[in-house]
Amino acid sequence: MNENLDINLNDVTDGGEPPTDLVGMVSLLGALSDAEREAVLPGFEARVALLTQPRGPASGVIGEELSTRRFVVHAAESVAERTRGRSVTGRPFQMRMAAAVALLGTVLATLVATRAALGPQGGTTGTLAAVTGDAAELERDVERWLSVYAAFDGDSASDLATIFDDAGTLGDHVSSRESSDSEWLEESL
Amino acid sequence: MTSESGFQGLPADHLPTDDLAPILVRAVAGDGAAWRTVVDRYGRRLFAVARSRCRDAEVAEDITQSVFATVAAKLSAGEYTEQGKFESWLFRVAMNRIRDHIRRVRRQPVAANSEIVAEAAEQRAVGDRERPDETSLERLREAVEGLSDSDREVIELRHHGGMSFKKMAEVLNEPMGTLLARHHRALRKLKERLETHEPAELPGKTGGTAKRFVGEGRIK
Repeated sequence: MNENLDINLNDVTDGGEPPTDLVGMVSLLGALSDAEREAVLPGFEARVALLTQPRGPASGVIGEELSTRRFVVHAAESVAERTRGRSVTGRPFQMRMAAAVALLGTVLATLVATRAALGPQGGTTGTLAAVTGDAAELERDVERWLSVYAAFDGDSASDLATIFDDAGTLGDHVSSRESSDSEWLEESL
Repeated sequence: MTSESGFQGLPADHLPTDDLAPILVRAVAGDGAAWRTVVDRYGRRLFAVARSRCRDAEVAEDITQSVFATVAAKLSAGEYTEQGKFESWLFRVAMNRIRDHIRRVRRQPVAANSEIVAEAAEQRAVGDRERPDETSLERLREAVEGLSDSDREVIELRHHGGMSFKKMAEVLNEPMGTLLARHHRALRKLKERLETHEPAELPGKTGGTAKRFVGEGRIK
């Protein structure tokens, strides 16, 4: 007889008695189930019941309290759901780094655009004058960026000062390179 | 362990279910004691299924709370009327929530697995101190983890969830005969794994205990 047929299919309640050689297995699973159920943290039922109780008909303060508590619990669950498994430590630093990269990218893009607009026809004097003018404008832009960003994160002052210095250095470096006609022409050609 | 309702530890089929409808009505009306009765009746069974899959008591409690919160919201909104399907509905919500969790964990394999392994090791250490036969149970947990998802769900719903095959058929949307056969096959796989791999996998431990119990049916 096929052992797989040794099951009472008419018994919808418990699936019939297991074969004798599986009785021990079923018993062991029963012990495991008991262990899993006993693994609850203290106050499990009370906590779950309190935090999930259905909203009854509006009944004054008690009803409002329950509703508020549920909202808080659900909101917390929602946040936990969104953040579970993801590290939240170091995010302010990551945000500052992202802002710094974006800022430097903006500065570079503006400088490159300026160079492309002037081109080799601008000549040394014209290029230097244009870059000097743009540098002053860039500094104002950077200051505006810094003031806006500082409003969002007061702890980033030192980082932003570094970024500002780097941006200034980069501007100087670009200006000094602009003084070389031959280099500019080589790159353009 | 038995909770205030006295239902825990009893097979699901011995739980009184005829009285559930009026209890749910009272719970939806704001009767905290009635809702507590519902939680007492099903909470640990849901928890056990979730913990078996997640191996983490806190995550299992989160899932259990989430399931009850969802069910409570739907009851309050009048989206469910008790017609003898509450248990199936509750466990279907739970299984969906557990599957969602497993999908999330699998998307982060390195961090999640290391956390689970660390948690399991920690619980194992605690269990070794508190429960004499924890080694046998841990072997069985590992064997259950080695089953396919479909076999594992049947084992977990049947034993940890304490569900009848009829209810399981409603939860899993499968014919009852299929689930009976799958359950039988899964039991055989577990038995074979415990008997075949036990000594090699756990050298130096109190090997042979689970094998002896499985073979002789001497548990409890």
